[in-house]
Amino acid sequence: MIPFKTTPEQVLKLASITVEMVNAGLAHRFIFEASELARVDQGVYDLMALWLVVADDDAERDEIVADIQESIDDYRDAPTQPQEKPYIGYDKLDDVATRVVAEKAKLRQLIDRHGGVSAVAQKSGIPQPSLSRMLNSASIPRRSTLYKIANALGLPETEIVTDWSR
Amino acid sequence: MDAPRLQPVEIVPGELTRPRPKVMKCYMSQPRRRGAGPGSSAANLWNIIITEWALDAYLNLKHAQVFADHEYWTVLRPDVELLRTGIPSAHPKFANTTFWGPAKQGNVALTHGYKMKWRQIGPGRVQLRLPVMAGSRTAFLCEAYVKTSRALDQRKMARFKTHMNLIAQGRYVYRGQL
Repeated sequence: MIPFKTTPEQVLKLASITVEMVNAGLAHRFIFEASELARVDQGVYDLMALWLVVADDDAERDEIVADIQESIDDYRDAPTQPQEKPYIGYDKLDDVATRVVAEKAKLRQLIDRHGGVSAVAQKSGIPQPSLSRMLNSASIPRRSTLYKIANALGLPETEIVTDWSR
Repeated sequence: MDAPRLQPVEIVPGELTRPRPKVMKCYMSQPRRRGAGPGSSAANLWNIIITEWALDAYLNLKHAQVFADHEYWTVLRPDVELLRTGIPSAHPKFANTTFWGPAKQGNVALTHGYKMKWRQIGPGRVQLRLPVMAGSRTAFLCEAYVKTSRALDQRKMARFKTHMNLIAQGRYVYRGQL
């Protein structure tokens, strides 16, 4: 771990940001995980500081929340040592992206049947901007995210975790 | 494809962020290329690691048709392959600050962090950015993105800091080498 250590001033600033995040209605679990990580990871600290600065821009705040959640997920899912996964050549990228997007379209249908993105985000504890970003991108979804959705919707793993998850 | 041989390398802590008082272990890939024996010119080449963050970014950019195939093969990939000669590459392009430079958060340069920059890419004529971390004779490709605003650039640099932290700890997934 790179020992990023928050200064007393930064700790105080983090405290004020967490209060703002509570007032903004963000999930307590998310705020807790973000503030814990921000004490040891300067990137997360920077994101939280940016979130505070853009108080009048809801769209930008949503993007920052999704970025913070990505960082939380990065740490949670990170292997303990470098891990190699299969190489995907450039000529296969379109094929992979098409498959991922098709799987996500099915997932969105499932989510819509269970009340939509907002409702499922609340049930699963995934910030809504993160869930929306995941559904709208061609990136390979995390298994941990899919498990959260499956648990929230009471679905078996086989129905929600595909070959194209990481 | 050869997997990089990973050995703990002592680095001075804080190089990635700020000056730090202690020394820590950092897992960086050591160069090992097929057919690269001692004394051969290939032995001096750097590895170019495709992190999973880079792959995910490529998937999104490719799916969004940000760049055309011919641009990938004639511009983007050849430029990235120049990193085999080291960071910074001795190629004249790397003296051009509109193409290559330190990754910055505000005015603060991130140690070991760099950015490759392309302009007028794809049908949207966008500005493409590729953050690269310099390890021990290894270039780690991270999350490429289209620069649309300063705010987005700041967020991506914050994410890059997190990626560099995880790479320095050896806590990363990679999808082979370029």
